[in-house]
Amino acid sequence: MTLLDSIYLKTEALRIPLYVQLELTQRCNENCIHCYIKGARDKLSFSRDDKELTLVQIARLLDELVEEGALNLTFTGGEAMLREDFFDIANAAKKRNFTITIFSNGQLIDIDAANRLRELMPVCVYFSVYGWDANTHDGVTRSPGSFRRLLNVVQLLKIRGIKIGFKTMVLKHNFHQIRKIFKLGKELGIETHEFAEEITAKIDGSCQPKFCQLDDYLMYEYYKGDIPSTWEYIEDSSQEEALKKQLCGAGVFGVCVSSYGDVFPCVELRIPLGNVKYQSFKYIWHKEEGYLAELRSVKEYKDLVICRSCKLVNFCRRCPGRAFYDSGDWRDCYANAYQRALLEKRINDELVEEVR
Amino acid sequence: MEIYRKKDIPWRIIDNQALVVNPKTSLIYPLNVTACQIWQLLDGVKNIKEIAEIIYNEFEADKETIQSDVLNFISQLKDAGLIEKI
Repeated sequence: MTLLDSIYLKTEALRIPLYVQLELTQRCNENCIHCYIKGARDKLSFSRDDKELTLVQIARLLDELVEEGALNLTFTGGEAMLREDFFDIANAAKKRNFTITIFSNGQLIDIDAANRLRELMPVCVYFSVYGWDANTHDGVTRSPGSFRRLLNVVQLLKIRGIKIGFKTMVLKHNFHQIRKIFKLGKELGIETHEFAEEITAKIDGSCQPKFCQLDDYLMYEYYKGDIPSTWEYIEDSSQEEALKKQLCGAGVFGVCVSSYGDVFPCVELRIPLGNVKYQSFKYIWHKEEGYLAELRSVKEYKDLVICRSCKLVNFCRRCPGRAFYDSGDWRDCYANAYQRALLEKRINDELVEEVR
Repeated sequence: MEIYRKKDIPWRIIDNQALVVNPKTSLIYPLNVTACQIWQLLDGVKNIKEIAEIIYNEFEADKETIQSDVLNFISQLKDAGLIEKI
C-alpha cells in the first residue's frame, strides 16, 4: 500500500471530510433543460428561511472545515459566479489553504474575472459543454450566445495558464454530436473532459429533467461506443467477490453544503444531516447516529440486503441519492441503476463473444 | 538560508502525516511523519541547520545522515515548487 493510500484510509477512519462541495447559490443565468437545481427547493431542508449563506457564515464554515481536515473544495451552484462576493469567498478559501475547483458555465468571466481566477490558482475550472455548435449547446442551455461566450472564455483562461475541464451531459438532444464534442475538447487542449449520461431528478423530487435522458437503445449505443473511451472488459467474478465492491464515499470522506446551509452527504444524496446556519459543522458531521451512522456502516454491496442476491452487482454503479429520489429509500435498487447494469453486462458478454 | 512553505500551497495534516498539493500541477504529495514535521518547520524563520537539529533531537540516527536527509527532502520540495527560499 502506498503512503497516499494509507493516508486516504486514515481520512476515512477519522471521518475527515476531505472533499467538500459548496453550493454558493441555486440561481443561474442559464436555463438548462436537464437542470436539477434551478428554481427548485430541496424536498427536505432544515433551512428556516430563503436566505443564502452570507460571506460571514461561509467564512465560519471554512474555518470549521479546516479544523476537520477538509482539503478539496469545489464551488458549484446554480452558477457560483453569480454571487457578487464570489471572489471574496474564493479568496477566503485560498487563504485557508484549500485546493479550489470551480464548476461554472463561464458566462460571467470577463478579462477582469479571468485575471482574478489566475491569482486564485484553482486546480481546475470546469465548464459545462453540451454541443459542438451553438445550435445544440444553446438549445440545451436555452441561453442564446452561451456557446460563443464559452469559447471566448476558454481562450481567456487558457492564455492565463488556468486549467480547464469540460463536463458534458449526454442527452437525447446532443447524442448525435458526442464525438464532435469530444473532439472539440481535444482541439481546445482541455485537460479533463468528463461525460455523464444519467440524469438526476430535480431536488424537489420532480422527474421532469429525465425527459432528456437517453432511451435504452441510445444508452446501449453510448456504452458500446468509444466516447469518451471504449468499453473495458470486466472480469467475471463470483457473487461473493462482486459483493465486496466498495460503495461511494458519501458522508464518509465527502460532503456537500447547500447555499441555504443544509449539510448533505453528497450533492446527489439530499437528505440533510443538519444546517450550518443553526448548528456547527462539527456537531452535524460527528453525530454518529440515525441515517448518517447507517450510511457510514454500508461500505460494500454485501451490506445492502437488496443487492445480496442480485446477479448484476459486478456491473452495478448505484448511487444512493438517485435511489432516494426514485423510491424514497437510499438503500433501494432503482430502475436506472438496474437498467444500466443490464446494458453493461450485455456489452461485456458481447465482447466475450467477439473475442471467441 | 531560511526557507518557507509557499503561502498558496494547499495542505492538511492528517494524523501526523500530511497531504500537500501543488495547485499548478494538481499533484498530491503525501508526507510521512518525519517529512510532515519538517514541512511544518518550514516557517521562514528556521534555517536548514536548525531544522535538522530539531529532527536530530527526536530520532536515533547520526547527525550527518539526518542533515543530509533533511537537505535532500527540502531539495525535493523545492523541485516540486512547494517552498521558497529567502
